[in-house]
Amino acid sequence: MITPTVHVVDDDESYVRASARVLSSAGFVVRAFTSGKEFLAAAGPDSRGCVVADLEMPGLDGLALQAEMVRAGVLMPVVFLSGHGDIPRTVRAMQEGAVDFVEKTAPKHKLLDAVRRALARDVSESDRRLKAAAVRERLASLTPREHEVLGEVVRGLLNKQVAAKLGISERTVKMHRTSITRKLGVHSTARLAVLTREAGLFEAG
Amino acid sequence: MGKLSLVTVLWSTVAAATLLLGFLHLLRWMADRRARADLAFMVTALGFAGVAFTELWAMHATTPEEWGLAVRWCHPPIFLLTVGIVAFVHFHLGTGRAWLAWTTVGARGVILVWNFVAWPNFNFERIDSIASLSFLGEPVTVVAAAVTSRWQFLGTIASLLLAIYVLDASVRLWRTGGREQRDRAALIGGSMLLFVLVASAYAQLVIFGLMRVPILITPPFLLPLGAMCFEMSRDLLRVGRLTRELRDNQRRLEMAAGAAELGLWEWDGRANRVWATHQARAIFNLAEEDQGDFRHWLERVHPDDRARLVQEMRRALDSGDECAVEFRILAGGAAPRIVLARGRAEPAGPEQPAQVRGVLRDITAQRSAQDETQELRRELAHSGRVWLLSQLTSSLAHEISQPLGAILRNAEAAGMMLETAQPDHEELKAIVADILRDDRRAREVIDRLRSMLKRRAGEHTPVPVDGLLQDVLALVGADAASRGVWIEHVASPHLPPVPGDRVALTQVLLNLALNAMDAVADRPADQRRVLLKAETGREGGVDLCVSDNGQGIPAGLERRIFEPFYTTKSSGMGLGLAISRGIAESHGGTLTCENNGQGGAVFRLFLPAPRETSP
Repeated sequence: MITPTVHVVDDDESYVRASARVLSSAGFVVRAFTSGKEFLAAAGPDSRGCVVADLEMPGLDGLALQAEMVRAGVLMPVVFLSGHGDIPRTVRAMQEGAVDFVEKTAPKHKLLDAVRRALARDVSESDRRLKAAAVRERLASLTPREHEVLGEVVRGLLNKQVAAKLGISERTVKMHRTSITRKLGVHSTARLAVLTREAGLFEAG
Repeated sequence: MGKLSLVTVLWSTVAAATLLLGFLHLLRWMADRRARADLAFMVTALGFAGVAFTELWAMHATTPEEWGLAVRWCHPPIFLLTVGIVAFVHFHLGTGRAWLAWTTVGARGVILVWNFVAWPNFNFERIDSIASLSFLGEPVTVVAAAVTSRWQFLGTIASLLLAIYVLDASVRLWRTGGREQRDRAALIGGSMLLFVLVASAYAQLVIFGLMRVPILITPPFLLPLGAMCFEMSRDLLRVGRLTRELRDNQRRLEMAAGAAELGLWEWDGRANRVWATHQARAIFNLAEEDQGDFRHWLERVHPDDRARLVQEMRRALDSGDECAVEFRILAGGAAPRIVLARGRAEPAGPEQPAQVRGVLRDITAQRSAQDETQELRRELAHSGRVWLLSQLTSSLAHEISQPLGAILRNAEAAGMMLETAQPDHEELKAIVADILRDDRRAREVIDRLRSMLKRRAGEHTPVPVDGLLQDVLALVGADAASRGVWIEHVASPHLPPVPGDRVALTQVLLNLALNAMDAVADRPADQRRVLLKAETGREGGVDLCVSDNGQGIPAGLERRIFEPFYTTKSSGMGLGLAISRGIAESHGGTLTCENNGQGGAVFRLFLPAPRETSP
């Protein structure tokens, strides 16, 4: 497993170095970058941990970096550093899914708390993402007809209703359900519903 | 004579009618002294009446001596008649030749004198007998046998001169003039000429004994008399028409003035009286019956503005110039109205009284709109500065938070490291070095900002002190007037020009003047005083003082008010005095303040004298 790392991104070399010192002293694994580009080149979808990024940087600023990360599939939580309270930017960053804000001149415990929260969130998020990936893999083995039947079942229809809706016999429905249970290893309808939700399936219906 | 004489009645009637007409012309002349033709006609009428009387006398003479006496006394009125006709033609037609006029009058004068030297009169050497003749059905006296004077031809020449004079004037008028002039030439000139010709020809015939009839000058005079009556009635008609036109014009003018909300006024400087239209009285809140006395009008003017108004009007009157005064009018309990009076003087001529005529306009609304605009502009300028400052602050915050944040983190890291069992000394050294470097960075940011805030010193040139004061007065003049502040300035003579940046120094004085005006705002309107003074300072430098009679500076604040962002005003930024002091110091001078004797404050900008030896 990859070690969770705190990625510090700030154009101010001195600040990056000082922050890295604090975070290292607090026991985190730290990697420092002096630009968003440099960070994006080093990180990938497999990178774990969190990003501590300056909101205001020449070239790629904090918000742009966040957008680039999403595009590249780098899904670590971001803690933004801001020089001063800048409400419109803050709101935008929140909407884009930033975890936290820390003022550059705030005492260290605020920074450390924010980093801890971000790391915890990264763990739970990546956990959830792994599970969902596993479920999606299993769901992929279903035939199109089984997939259809599953959708109706998850929505709460009885076998008889599913049969009527899809224009097949109740017996055939039961056959498909047996196959689904076998492939997914789940028996109850409730469990099936939870599973599909975790995989992000049928949510629009 | 028992029965009524027709001749007496006729002659008397004609004489009376002529006198009446003459009297009317006299009245007209008295109303308008420039109408000298009217006076001349009065003289003519008098002369004619005299002639008629002597004629009547002659016609009723009972002895040759009496007849001769009557003819003798006929001459003074004839002289009067001649003078009257000459003068009338001269003034009424305006084309008579002066030398001809004087010759005619002179000849007649000579004859008049001669007449009273000779016996029985000028015309005759001897009158032997008289006869009676029936004239208009009654007996009248005529001369029967007489010897005509040898010099009678002089009388003929005098009559001819008069005829030539009238003819010449009429012809000249006819030639030069338009239709109206031609009418006048034909009517007045023609009738006068005809009268002179007929009357003198007839008289000559009698005098030379060619006709045995009474001397009759009166009947032909009916010709010019009729012409004058006609002319006068035409004048009356014209007066009526002009009066109507005048009234129409006045109505039009008042309508136009009313539409433009202009009041019309006229001030007679000698009688100190005012004529004004309804609109003008309305602007002054004056009732119809109040108009007239200038003092009534002045009472409505704000006491502070009265002296200025009168002074300006007098100035216009004396110089014959135009004037424009803005003043306030008391409106009972309401806020005073602001009024603009514009006028032009009609200088005192020999007959015309001195007057100033003009228009009056209530400009309160306009002025308050202007004031609002100015206020808005001030606010905009202020908010502009605030905005600039907030931008500066924002950039300052970002720039400074970098090194400060780094220093904090490094210190924290150092603290954490020192808590470990074996601190890494090399790392700690690196941290301290980083901290020192970031501290320097922070200082650089602050220095940069400071230099940005500080005005870059402009070109230093010799600035004339009085010019500097004039610049400031020009800038604050309008503002001061609208705020009711009286600004004075005094400059000692022979002050040396001060080396400096004229714009920056103006800004300092402007700032001080505006502060002073703010300081006196709470005082009554007639007691708001600000004085700009330039005098010799220490070591040959110049002191520029701005003093006011406001509240003064509270004790203990003399130093604080120069600190940036310190302000006592709700709308102030607290930068004015700080920047001003900065400018003073960049000129090698000082800016200080103290309270003056009158309870107000005095700010002293000291600028040193230019150094004689410049490196």
